[in-house]
Amino acid sequence: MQCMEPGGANNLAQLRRGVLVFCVLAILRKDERYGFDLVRALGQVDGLVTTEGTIYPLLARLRRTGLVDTVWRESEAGPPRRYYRLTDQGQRALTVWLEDWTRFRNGVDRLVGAAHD
Amino acid sequence: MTEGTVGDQIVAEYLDQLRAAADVLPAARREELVAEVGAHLQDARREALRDDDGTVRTLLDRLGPPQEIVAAAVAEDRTATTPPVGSRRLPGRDQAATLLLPLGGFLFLVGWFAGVILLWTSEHWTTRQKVIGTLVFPFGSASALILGTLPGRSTVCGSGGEIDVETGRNVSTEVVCSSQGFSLPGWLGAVVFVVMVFAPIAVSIWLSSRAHAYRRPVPS
Repeated sequence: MQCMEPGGANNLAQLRRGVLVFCVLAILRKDERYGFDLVRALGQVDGLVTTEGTIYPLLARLRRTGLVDTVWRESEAGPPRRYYRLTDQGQRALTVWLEDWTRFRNGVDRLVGAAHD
Repeated sequence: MTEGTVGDQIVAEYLDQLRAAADVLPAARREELVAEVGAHLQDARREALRDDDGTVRTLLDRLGPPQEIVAAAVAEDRTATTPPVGSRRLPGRDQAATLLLPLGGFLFLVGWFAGVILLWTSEHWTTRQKVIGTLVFPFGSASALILGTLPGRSTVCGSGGEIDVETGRNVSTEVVCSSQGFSLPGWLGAVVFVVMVFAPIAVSIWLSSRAHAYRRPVPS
């Protein structure tokens, strides 16, 4: 396994890529969102989204793999909007990931914390 | 957008660039991407405080260069069929395609056409793979039987053709036989038969394995 250079810009990019999918699913768990609205919500986490446009290929993949689906809804301003919703399969994927993530995060925190002390 | 503002023009140019860069994607995927990014820009501009060209350019900067978005789409394509949670089996419709292509010809030939439709509407094979799957061979293994019914080496016999004008009966006693069509030596015919039966099955197995390979996550 190749080790990453500490402090490299690549570090964050690698972490972000793995986490981003589940942040999308987590946002959609609460309610359905249209594209721009979803991107705006993701933008609240610093460093999570660097190029907003790349969210759309990700959403397309989630839709193709059945983790989200889409529905068109009338909007009060402008043309109908395409809303993304979490599917049952997406809900299950999110639940599994949350357990994995919590275990992983706690392990890393303990290790880094112990090394830091 | 009833009148073309500078902002409209900048957005239109950006979307054109995106569409051009997305040329590497399948048409449906490309249109979906351009439509989504276009809708994003509409919403972003509507909710922005101002709509001057500086604001529009900032929105485009945040979206990123079209090439980068397309590169992400291509990368997603590679992992597209590897859901984070779920089975790694070939989807049912793809399985049906790999069964119907070699064997559907036996279902009154219609099954093969169904296989071709499933093959070409699937996202899990490249165009090259689809062409091979279609051309080796039309109607699959049944092609061997179809070929067998064609006049390979047929002998047509008839009488000489002298007809008695009064009775209308053929009076010639001479029987003329002629061979038509092509003929293959026995061993070559057997080889062709075996190839035609098994090549579609081999191609189908290959398509299954390629689709699986396509599904494997790309190591990063």
